[in-house]
Amino acid sequence: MEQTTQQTDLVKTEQTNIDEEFHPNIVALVCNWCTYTAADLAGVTRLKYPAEIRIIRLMCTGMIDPRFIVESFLRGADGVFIGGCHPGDCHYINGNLKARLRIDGLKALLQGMGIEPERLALHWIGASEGTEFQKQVKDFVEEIKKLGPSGFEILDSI
Amino acid sequence: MDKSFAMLKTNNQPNRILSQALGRLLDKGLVSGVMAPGITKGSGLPMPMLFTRDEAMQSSIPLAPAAGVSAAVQAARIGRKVKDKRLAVVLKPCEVRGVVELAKLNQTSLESLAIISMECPGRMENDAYLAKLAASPDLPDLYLNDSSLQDQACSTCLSCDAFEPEGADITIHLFGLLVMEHIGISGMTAIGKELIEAMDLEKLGTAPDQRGALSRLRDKRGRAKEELFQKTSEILKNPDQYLEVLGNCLGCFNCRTACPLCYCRECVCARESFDRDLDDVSSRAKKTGQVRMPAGLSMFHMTRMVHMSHACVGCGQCSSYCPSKIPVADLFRTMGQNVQKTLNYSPGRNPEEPIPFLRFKTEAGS
Repeated sequence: MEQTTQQTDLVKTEQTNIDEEFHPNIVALVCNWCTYTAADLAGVTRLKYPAEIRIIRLMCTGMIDPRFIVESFLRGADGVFIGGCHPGDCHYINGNLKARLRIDGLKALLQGMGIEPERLALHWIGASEGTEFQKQVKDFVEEIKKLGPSGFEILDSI
Repeated sequence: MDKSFAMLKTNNQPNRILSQALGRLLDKGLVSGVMAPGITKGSGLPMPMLFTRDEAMQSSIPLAPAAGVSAAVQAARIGRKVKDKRLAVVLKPCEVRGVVELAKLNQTSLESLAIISMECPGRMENDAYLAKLAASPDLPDLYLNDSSLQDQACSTCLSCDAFEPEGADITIHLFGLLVMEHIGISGMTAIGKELIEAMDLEKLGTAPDQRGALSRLRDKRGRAKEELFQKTSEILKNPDQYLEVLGNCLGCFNCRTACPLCYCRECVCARESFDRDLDDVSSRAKKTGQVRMPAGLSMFHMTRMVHMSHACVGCGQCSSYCPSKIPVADLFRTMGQNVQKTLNYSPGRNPEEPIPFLRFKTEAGS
């Protein structure tokens, strides 16, 4: 609930342009079994985390098509946060390991396109690690704020 | 003496002599067919052709310095349904890499093919080739002997240092030889060696030392490649330059059609997620109040970049097909180098080497 209110507030500030501070757009792709549950846990334990993050729940990080990430950046994301189960804990045996490899490749690609690889983060956050989720999200948002807008959106003009 | 090496006397006609030699594969019933570049009546453009009778082989130009389309796709397609006898395919080294990658993607079977490839002097763009051919009909032979003609190859070939075939069963040797007098042919694998022996070719001398000629060319093309990659990686990193290069894209998808590795029957870029309806297009116009159409071409190019970066074999057909002359291949090859280095993978090098994304480590760790 708190989170929803914060997000509504953010939308308001964007619209009225009162707030001059840079609020990055961050897309979080998290797996249903671990990191989403951790986010949920963070919510019920009333752990505050930045509202700049937009969570998208997926069944597994293994289903993340690199295009999801590329499209996020093209449509204005300043960072993409991916959270999955610890290696060995994947609900689908090895989806998270497949994700890790794809993301390694994609980071090289993004770097070649002039995007800082730090804008794409992959973290293993288990279902019981609400505080870890809070910490990682906070750190990531801080990092993106330091990096500033990605500017990748301009490529979407063709 | 090495039985699987033969020097062929060429009498100023290396293409004709080689096609006669390959005709023996059919004559002796060693293969069910030979796929090689050839010309049809009325057209001078070499296209992949399947020969099933040795007398027909005279219209083939196995060492043609042009390729209307990538023969890799055609070889893969007909290689799928080979029954008892092998099928011989004459491919350029980049096309060999393409076939190997397609085999890894379960699109063909390498067991059914006998791959014949050559030390590749490069191919010319189709229009340049046809223009030159009109003036000198012997171009396919002259090209092999004339480095100034070879410098007129397409830009991809001029910056390609992977011109020696890897994974071919039979290799045609050209560099460092007086090709108007003789060319070399040798078996590289057990199958290749067997075929060469069975072809029963007239042998002249032993394998020559080509190391000097090959390493000189490798250096020359390697330098050109470094230069090109340097220039292209600047373009990729700079949004303004990137838009300048890709801004003329018409969205015709020719690059996708030309690509030997775009094997999907239904391309993801043709699916609903790429359906740019009014809602989608106007949402793109939100920020600046305008949007170019067809919209979302960057996503198309980035999708291909994601798919190709680990797999691009560097044949350059995408650039050749582009009506807007966008150097798509340069972008893919440059990006490919970054990604392939990270994933420690070289496409088409080794049929045994799995595609990197299937090679995930199973041990724990971050």
